[in-house]
Amino acid sequence: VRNNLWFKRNDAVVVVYLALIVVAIAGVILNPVFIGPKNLGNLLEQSTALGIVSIGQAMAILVAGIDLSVGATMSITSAVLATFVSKGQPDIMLLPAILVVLLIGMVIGFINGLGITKLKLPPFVMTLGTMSIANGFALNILPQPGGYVPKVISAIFNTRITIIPIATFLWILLLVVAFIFLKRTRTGRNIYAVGGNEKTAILTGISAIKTNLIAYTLSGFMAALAGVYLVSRMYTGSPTAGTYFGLDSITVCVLGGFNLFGGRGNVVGLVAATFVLAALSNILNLAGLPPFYQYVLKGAILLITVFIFALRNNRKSTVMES
Amino acid sequence: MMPKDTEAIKNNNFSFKSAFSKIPTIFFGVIAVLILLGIVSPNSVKPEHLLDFTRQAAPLIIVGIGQTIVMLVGGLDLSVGAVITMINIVANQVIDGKPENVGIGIFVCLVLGVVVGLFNGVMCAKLKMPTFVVTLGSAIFIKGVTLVYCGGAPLGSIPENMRFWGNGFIAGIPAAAYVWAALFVVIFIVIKFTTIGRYVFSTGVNEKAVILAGYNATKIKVLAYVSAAVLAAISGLMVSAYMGTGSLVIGDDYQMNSIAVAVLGGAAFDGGRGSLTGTMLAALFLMIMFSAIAAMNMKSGDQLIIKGIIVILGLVLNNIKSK
Repeated sequence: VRNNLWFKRNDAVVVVYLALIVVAIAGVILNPVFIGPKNLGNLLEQSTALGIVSIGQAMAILVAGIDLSVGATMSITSAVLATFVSKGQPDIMLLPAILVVLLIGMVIGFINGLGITKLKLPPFVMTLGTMSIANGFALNILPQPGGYVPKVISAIFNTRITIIPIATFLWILLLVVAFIFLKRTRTGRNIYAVGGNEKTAILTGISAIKTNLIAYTLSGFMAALAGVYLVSRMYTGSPTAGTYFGLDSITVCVLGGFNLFGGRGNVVGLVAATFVLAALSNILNLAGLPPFYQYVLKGAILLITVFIFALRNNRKSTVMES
Repeated sequence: MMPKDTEAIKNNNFSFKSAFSKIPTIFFGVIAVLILLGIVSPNSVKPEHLLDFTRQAAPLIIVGIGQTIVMLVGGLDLSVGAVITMINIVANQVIDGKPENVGIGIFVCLVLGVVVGLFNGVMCAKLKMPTFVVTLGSAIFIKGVTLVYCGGAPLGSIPENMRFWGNGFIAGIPAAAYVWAALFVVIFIVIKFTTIGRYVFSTGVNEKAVILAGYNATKIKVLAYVSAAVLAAISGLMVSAYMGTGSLVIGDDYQMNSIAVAVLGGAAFDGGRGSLTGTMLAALFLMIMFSAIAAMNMKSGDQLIIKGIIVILGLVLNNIKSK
């Protein structure tokens, strides 16, 4: 039976927005500054990289895969970007540098897709392998944090229009594009179909290989883009800049209602999930609590969310059986 | 239900081919990497150096065996690295350098392991929540609890009587090797020769068949998660015994390395496949490999690059072999 009510079909999205409201209220109670324009700007800045990389992760999860390598892709992006342009060269050199790192991201994603489809390796192991390889290259390219990045990169991405950093507009644009791509284009629908039931999808004439390759390439591309933004925030490169983004982006997708078995999820949920995660350290900071409480909260939120979904799914399956 | 075993029963007569296929692929990897080590650093192929690998690999072997058991029942445990860090911090703080506290310290750590394992097991097996998210969630949560517990900086130390198990020798062989060897033998016997051990394999291959046979598959799975967490705790104790102090990042690498050695040893993500011997050899393989890389004076990132290539190649080879 098809459920015609949007919020019933997307109850996972509703849950994560409710969670965001709870977190926001808690933030305001702990420190009213939380809702101030300056802090909201900071929050947007802290959310943007995670938000962008999570869109890519969502593509991999939709095809019933996972991409552990996105964090390493961000690290290699950071390392390359910080060593590509040397001091004294014109700022315009930044343009080829950014094009190169975006290409690197897409190549890593494409290789992931090849390994998963052609060699039939489990996505977890394939992307674990490329994660290790990309981390290694990042360390070889830039052994210590540092390097040189033209200051103009910060002006491009981090200038705030009212309170909103330019990069956040890019994030919003990417969300809109991803939404339309997934819902309205043939390739996007194929991504859902392949993730939902690969055999059925193949029988209806969809190329599972092509669809997987597209999903993972997009994941790598988004990771590289997030890496560029990370460099622009820090003015400098680091070979471990992306370390935590791999598992964090998966956390965002799960919170946002994406099913790890593939084929289910709505990018609308990603926005709230990203803010929930980013707000935790922001609120703790404002409340004067040590930053490490964020792990307790993050872990608890993840476990509670998955618990709610599990209860719902168990109920649904018993209803179907009866 | 288990094609490989029935095949072995059918071909009762010994043949070189079946004997050959019984050897885990990674065994040849160990030989290859030993030869490589001999070429790049002839001095290190001495008995005392080679024996040192059995010490270096101890924590990885122990945690890898736990990961293998969970993968046998079709699960995955991303929390083992966080458990190792937690145990390292707790052991240091509880024991606090006093030899008489070692007993209580070890007891507390093992209880913590059981608690984490029960939580993961009940959430994954009983409530049927996705293992990846549950164990990722508990990994993050445990990391947070560890940080809150020690207030953001490790305290305490490990006294000599416990450190002996990390860097001492018994009859010329590292004490740590006895620990993992004993655990290996016990677990090997349980998995191979007891009913419950056989059901660990069958649960991963065909859970429904196990339930139809009147056995409690949920119980088996919970037990698998508990063993993984307890073995991670023991691994954490071994790390602590070797290090002597606490570190908040000591377990980070074990999260993915434990999965890498289980997979290299022959474990699959859909359960029912995996080898304790393979995992043990894979851990030794990685340690010897890292040592060879260090001897070659390569760049700092090369170790990671080679590890990544090995994980992918190893799985490709395993896939080819199982066809």
